[in-house]
Amino acid sequence: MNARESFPRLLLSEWTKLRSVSRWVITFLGALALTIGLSALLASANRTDANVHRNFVVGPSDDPVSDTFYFVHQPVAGDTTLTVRVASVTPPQESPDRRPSRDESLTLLDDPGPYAGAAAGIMIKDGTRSGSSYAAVMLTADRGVRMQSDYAVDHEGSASSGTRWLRLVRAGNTVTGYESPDGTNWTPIGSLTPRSLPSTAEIGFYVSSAPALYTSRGSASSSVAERPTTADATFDNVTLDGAGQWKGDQIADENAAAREGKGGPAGGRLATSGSGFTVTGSGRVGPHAPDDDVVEAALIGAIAGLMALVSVGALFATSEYRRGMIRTTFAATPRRGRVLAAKAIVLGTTAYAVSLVGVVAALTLAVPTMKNHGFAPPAFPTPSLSDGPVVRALLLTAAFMALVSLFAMAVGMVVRRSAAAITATIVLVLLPLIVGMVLPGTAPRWLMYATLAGGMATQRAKPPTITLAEPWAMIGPWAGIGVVAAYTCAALALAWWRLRRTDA
Amino acid sequence: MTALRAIRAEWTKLRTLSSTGWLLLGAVAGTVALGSAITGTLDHRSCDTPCLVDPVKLSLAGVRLGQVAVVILAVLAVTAEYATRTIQPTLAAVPRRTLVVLGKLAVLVGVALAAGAIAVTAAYLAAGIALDGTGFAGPVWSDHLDQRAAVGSIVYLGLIAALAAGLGLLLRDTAGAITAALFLLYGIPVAASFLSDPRWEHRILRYSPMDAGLSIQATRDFAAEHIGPWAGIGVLSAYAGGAVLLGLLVFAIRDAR
Repeated sequence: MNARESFPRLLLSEWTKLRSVSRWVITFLGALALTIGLSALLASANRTDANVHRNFVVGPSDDPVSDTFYFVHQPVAGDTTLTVRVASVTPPQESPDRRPSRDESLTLLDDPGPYAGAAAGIMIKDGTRSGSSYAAVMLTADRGVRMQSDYAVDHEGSASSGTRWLRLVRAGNTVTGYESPDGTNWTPIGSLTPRSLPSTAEIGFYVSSAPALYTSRGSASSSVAERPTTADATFDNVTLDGAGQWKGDQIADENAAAREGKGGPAGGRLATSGSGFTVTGSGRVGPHAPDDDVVEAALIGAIAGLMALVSVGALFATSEYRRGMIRTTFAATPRRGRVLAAKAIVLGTTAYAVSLVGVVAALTLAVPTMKNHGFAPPAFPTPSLSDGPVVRALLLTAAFMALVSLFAMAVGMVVRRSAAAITATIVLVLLPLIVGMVLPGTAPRWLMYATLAGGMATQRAKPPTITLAEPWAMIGPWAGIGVVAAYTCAALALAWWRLRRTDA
Repeated sequence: MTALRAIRAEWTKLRTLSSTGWLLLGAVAGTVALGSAITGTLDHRSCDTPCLVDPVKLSLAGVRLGQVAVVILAVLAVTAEYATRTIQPTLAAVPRRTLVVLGKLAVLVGVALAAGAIAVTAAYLAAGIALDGTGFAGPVWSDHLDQRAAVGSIVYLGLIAALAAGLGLLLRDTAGAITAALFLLYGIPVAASFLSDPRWEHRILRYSPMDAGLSIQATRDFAAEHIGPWAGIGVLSAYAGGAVLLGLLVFAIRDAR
């Protein structure tokens, strides 16, 4: 029999071993039940008032957004073209009296996203209501020239941060943005179609400056403080077809202004100097979803299912030694690497299939309950199995569970003791989470990069953030699964080396 | 004198296992290493005002790691008898099953308490060194709260040994008992951290064996604890007692195979 024929038979024999131990089959079913059961059980223990006490406005596609800035505008009917020269824009500045003094436990949140920082640009908008549809071309303080619309679409222009000419052309429902270094050579940035642009839209120039976010976390809790910032920009050479009178307005969410008492967001200013305008603006224009993640919370049961899979994985390796079965196995297939590969493939595939069924069922069961407890639109759009990030979270969470089970198997091959293999694996997954919740600041991030606990990041459908108590939210899902895969590969390599070197 | 003989037999069995010494060493090393790693990173200048960091509690945080060795020790002391079939000679020598279990428990809890006393002492000494120059005061032996935290941590480890042994009797399977014990200890607080409703988080942590049992380590900011110090030890005792009683029941009813 040649080698090519024997590998499928090896897979078959490992599969037979796995499925014929009734205790393991029960544990696989138990993993499924634990994943689904814990998720369904604890779904009702989650509650939020994010929709009641809103810190967002509802955007054109019913998503939570932030829409606060200073707008110098006038209504224009039909197709039009606006050209300005942005002479300068300053970085966001915190007013000195409101800056945290010596409270260094607060960490300034560095948002690298395209909607943060300060921006000066030109915009066409569906009226002056906060949260309405828009398209804009802007020069940012440190993110180059960009074109954005409806709090969701972002096109990158040149990386310029100095003086720049900007142009916005409306033709029907399409808005095209251009930039130029000198006002004669124009480069298109993008053509966007805002969701609802009325025939008479507000057009003009604006300044925004996203608030500085400070976060404090540790001792199993976290908090975020928001401090307004302002930015100044100078506009000149403003040319608009059939220009009327410019009018300056602070665009803001009235509810937010009322809630924050007298001032609301730091107000903007408009000053005319010769043919130019100096505008001071404050606020942020962009998506503003809460950091809490429905998908992550719905997959809570994965942690329990994972522990059951760890014990099967370890036993799949160590029971061969306990029963002396390994000698029969190697008598049948002397090539040890192949046996290890076959075991890994059979266990990995089975664990992945079980986990995937578990997480999909857990999400399906938990989401309706959570929806009744406040995790409802608009703050929390209902996760759907057709959303990319949701699918990613499900696939990667199942992969995380399967890889950890494989890791336990490899450790079992190395240490040949089920107690040691199970404990080492579970401690590597869970202890860093517990320590990470207690440790303050961003210190737990390295724990997530250095241990199997990082795999928990796969459960998040939202981007990483340091504003939450749970330490795994600090790293991205691909980094998390990468850490786990690296651990598993290293453990499998060690197991292979041990199998070749040592007698069974 | 049968009780003493039963204890002595269990002590001989435990003492002659090569893993026992390593596991006890692991319990002490884990407790000291994690505790001093955490206290070593503290810095008073980067703390809120008022500073609520509890250096004594953090210096004993290593118990969360060290307890794992105690869990393995206690589970193996029970389940290995089934795996290696020594349970039959054991029961032939001491036919009264309650006596066998009580002998085992006495030895395991005693060993865990002794290891805990060494681990806690070493953790306090290490924290004193690690905290030097950080601006935080280390543990003080004469302070009543620091004493309570130390004694509570030692008692905690003894109760963990009883809980793990009880689970071993109940499940008769090394893998199952260790997984169950680690889920009770670690799985519950991690699951609770997923919850966004603080009331539910409080309710769960209040009755989870590790967080309730270790709330006795607090020496300041007691409002942040989910349960009182001795009440928390009581919760853990209920878990341990429940596991031992159920284990005893199963042990008495089922045949030893």
